[in-house]
Amino acid sequence: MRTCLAGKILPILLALTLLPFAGLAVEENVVIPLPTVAAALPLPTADTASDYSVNRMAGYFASQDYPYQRPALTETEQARAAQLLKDYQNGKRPAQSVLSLTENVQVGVYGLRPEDYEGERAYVLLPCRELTDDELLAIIDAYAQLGLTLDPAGFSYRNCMRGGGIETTRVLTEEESDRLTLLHDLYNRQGMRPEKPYTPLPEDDGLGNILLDEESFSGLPDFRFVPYRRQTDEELMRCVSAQYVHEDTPASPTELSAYENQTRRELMRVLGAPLALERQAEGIFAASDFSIQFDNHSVYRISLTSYTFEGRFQEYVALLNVQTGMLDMVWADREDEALIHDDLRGDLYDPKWVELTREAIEDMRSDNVAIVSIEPTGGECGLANNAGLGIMMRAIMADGGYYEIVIAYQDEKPHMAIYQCNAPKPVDSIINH
Amino acid sequence: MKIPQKLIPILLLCCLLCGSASAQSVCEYIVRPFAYDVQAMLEVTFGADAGKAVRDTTRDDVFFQLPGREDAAACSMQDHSFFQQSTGWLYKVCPADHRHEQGNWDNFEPVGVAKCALTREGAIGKATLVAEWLQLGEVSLQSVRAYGKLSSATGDYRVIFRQQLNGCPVYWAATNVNSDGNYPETNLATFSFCDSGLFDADINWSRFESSALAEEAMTAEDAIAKFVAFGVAADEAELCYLMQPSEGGAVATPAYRYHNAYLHAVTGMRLQ
Repeated sequence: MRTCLAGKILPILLALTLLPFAGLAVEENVVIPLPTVAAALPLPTADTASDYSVNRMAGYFASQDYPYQRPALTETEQARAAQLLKDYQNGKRPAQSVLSLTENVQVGVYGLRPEDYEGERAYVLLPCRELTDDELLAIIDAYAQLGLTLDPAGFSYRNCMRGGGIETTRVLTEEESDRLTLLHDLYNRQGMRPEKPYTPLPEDDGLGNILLDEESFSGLPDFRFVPYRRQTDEELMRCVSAQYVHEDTPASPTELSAYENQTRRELMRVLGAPLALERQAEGIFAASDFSIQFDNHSVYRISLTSYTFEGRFQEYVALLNVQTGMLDMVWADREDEALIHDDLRGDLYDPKWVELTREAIEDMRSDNVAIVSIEPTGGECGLANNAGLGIMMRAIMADGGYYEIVIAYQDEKPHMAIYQCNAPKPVDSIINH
Repeated sequence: MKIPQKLIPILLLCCLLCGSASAQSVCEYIVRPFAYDVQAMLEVTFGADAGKAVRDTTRDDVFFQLPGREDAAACSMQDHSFFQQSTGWLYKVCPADHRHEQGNWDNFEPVGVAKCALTREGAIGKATLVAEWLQLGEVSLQSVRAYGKLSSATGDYRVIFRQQLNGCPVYWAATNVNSDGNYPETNLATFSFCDSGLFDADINWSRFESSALAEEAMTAEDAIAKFVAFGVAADEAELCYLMQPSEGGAVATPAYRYHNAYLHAVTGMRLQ
């Protein structure tokens, strides 16, 4: 009896037991769709007409013809990606992940908060070349890790940068730039710092900065994430702090004030600069960033503008050697709106240029240092606003100082000047050293 | 013959009056692109091989080279597409050990003497001959630049002529500007020489067709006074021609110049 009952029940039990497995067995070869986030979420409506909207960038890309700088996959890449999507669904995986890479990036995928980027959830950085199959697969995989499905035809300037076509997700508005300048000053001169540190990935606060493989991005060294909304002062202060992340010893407010003071005094001494100059920007840099003449010692760079002093140079950009307190180099120029284009030329050997240069230097200097020599450099330089040409003269001073002064042909007045505390070496000697 | 003493003061007065009057007849000209003598360009460029030069018809300019010698001499002539001037250039083969670096300012000789056997005056003489061969017409010497200061460079001279019209320089007015914001090149003819001879030339040139009756220009003194009346602190005035755009081209207007200010040499009207 027991045997008969077991014999009748067992098959039933077995059948019941096997049924689920039978279902699974049936489902083993069925395509499992990738996870997809539902399209509709309760997000605030993005004001795509505002100054902060990425839609302002549409015009920038409208005429971009080069396929490896257009924010899109090429047609062949799209076709391959469609096949690779199927391969991914069948279990194929890339050799490496490209999700959230921060340095030396050739291909990168980054998660975004939709409230920061007008609904966009991912951003892709693509190189200035055709993608390999493995890279396309890595992008598909990165999207899947973000809970998204790649649409090969879905890239645009809203969610993609390719080949160094642009260095940021969107450009700053004028008011953001103005606030950034003010905040720079607070950071440098008041020692103010952001409440939270700057992080390279945009997934936490919408801000980010990725270091690129420059060869893959036409020489572009990094890419900045700027959200498609107005940035707060705190966020802009984080951006300011990001610029100084790699500095070992940023200058203190006291040091910056001292450098500015010394630079102003030197400008007055060697170029007759007025005292009433407005500081535009400042920072500590390596001197070699500005000229092959210099090694990489630290310099204080400042740009100054005169709005009221007529007849003299109005724009000054100075490099002060922070060790010696001397001006490594100054560029000064004067923009005379009264000048229009001229068709004048001069004889470089005409002695009047020597005399005009002498008069200009004697007028500028306030320390009676003698002029050792004045001669033409052999060059003619264009004036601002295509106003014509001028002859460039060089002068060497008894204290080793060196001037290159451009005297305009049309009014025989100095319009540009370069000053260095030491005469530069010939370029050939630097290149062939 | 002995001049009677009573006449001397009268003669002196006449000389003084003539000297201060200095009247010059001037007229307006239509400006056109210069028409190069192609054969002359070929002869200057290729010398005895001028007859072997072949035009490359795939190019927009009138370009000649020796067949199979793309690394050798070449010349080109072309009208400017917008301004009433034409460009011409040529280069010739130099010895293999020559190194000409006129674009390197460190190679410029600040005292005006190049380290070659050719002298400044010799270079001017050669350039004058080439300008005559090319039938450029009136020229004035703008400057002579010496190069070869670098130890690795070859000494050479660059002779620069400015185009003249009736003994007066010609200048493009600032109103000559195209839609891209570009201005015409100055009408200069530049010839570079080393001890091996001419090695390159670059010319921007126009030609002029008389279009009006001659009139008498005012004196330089009168022009200076008019400049001052316009608020221009002039102490000299140069008689010249100002090339201004006109319907269908350009006209060269007789003018006086002080720095970059111009006024009409006959009417005194401010031109620029």
